[in-house]
Amino acid sequence: MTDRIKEIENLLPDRLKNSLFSGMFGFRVTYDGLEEIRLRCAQPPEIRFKGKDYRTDKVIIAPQDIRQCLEYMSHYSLYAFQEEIRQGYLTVRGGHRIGVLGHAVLENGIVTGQTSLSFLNIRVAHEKIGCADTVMDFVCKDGVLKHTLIISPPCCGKTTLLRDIVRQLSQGSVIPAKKVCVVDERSEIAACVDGIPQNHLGERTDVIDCCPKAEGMLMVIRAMSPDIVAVDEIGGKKDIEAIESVIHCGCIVIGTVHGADVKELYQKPELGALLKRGVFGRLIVLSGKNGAGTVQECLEL
Amino acid sequence: MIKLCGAVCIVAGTTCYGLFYAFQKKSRLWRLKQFKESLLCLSGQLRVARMTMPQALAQIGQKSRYDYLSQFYIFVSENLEQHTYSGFWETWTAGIDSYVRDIYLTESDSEILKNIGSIPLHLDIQMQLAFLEENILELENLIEETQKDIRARCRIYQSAGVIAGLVIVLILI
Repeated sequence: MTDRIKEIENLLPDRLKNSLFSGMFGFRVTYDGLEEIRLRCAQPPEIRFKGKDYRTDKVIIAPQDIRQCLEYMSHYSLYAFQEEIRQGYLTVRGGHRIGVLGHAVLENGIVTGQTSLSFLNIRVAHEKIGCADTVMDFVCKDGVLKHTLIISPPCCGKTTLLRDIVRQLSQGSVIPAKKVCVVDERSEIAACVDGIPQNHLGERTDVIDCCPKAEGMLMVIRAMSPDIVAVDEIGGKKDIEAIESVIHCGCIVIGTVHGADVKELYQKPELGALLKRGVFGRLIVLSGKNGAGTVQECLEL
Repeated sequence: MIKLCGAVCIVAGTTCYGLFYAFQKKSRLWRLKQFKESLLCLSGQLRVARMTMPQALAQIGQKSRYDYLSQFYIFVSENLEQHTYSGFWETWTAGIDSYVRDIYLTESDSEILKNIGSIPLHLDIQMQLAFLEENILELENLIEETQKDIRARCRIYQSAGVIAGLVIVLILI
């Protein structure tokens, strides 16, 4: 745990480094409860801790604090993260995602980068090993895997659940171990840094990082002969077409999708069509009723 | 006999000093060439592999044939990761002062090498490469200038060493 705290402290400007975890907000901030740290130029720092937001007036973030933060996050090499900056986030060691906002640079109406970065949002990574224990029997029912969809509103733990399902399938905790390929478009599932997953995904998992989902799925089925392809936030037409290719290759797809419930999904044009055809055999619906990760229902179609 | 020994010692001493001075000039040239070679490697690392600066510097440090350069690059890389100094320029300058700047390089050579530490790391990769290219060119010009008359100068220093010794012996005799 000390290492995890050190990971966060190493990202912060010198003025906040030693004080964030030791009383700056009037109480002891622990790693377990810390969800977000927000730094805004000319504003006091803010944290999200155990679901609540806290600010302090002891410090006002200066432009040099933001600059120092960016230097530490990028290892003094912002030039190496131009694409990530363009997309608005970068992933650092430990799997923490840092949202960065500033002044957008446009070329022919397309965002090519950002300058004057003044707003940072450090989303603290929390891997919950074992959070899929309650659903693994359902996912592997009768020893047979089916294409599975995790449906959840935002911030209800679908990626965390997917990650643990991948780990358990790769490790063979319920059924014999499978070869799993993860298409990690936003570096949230594996949180790779220098090609090395920062999260535990199991020994038989391959990851393609920062690749658009559709292209990534086609690449993995061509190159890695996976048993299972895991993908987060399935949405558009291209994603659906790629999923069809994966299915035709005989691979199992386990994915997540935004939605409050199954009814909502049937209304989506492309995904609804897949559901109506019975492509997905198992659905897991999450909610935030009793905190993130609450399994609302498991449906076998 | 004693006078002869003394004379030989004096001439040997001044000749050695002349040779050492010539060696210093040659060493300066070698140092500049070695540093230029390492900057070319750095430029390549950034252009092809798009590495972060600490990674690129660590790789160069590990592969360098020259101990002082290896120590320098590893020092800068490690201190960047540990945030020991307040920025890249400070870390680079500390490294130059500790490992590169020595009796062979002049003050202006050190300033040119330190200037590389002001590389604008917050801009895009093209700017990094352009900046490195500019500094490599400056080093090349310096090397060329030094190389032009180094042979003649080294001969002068060596000869001056011998002659100075002989003059001192004559004066003493």
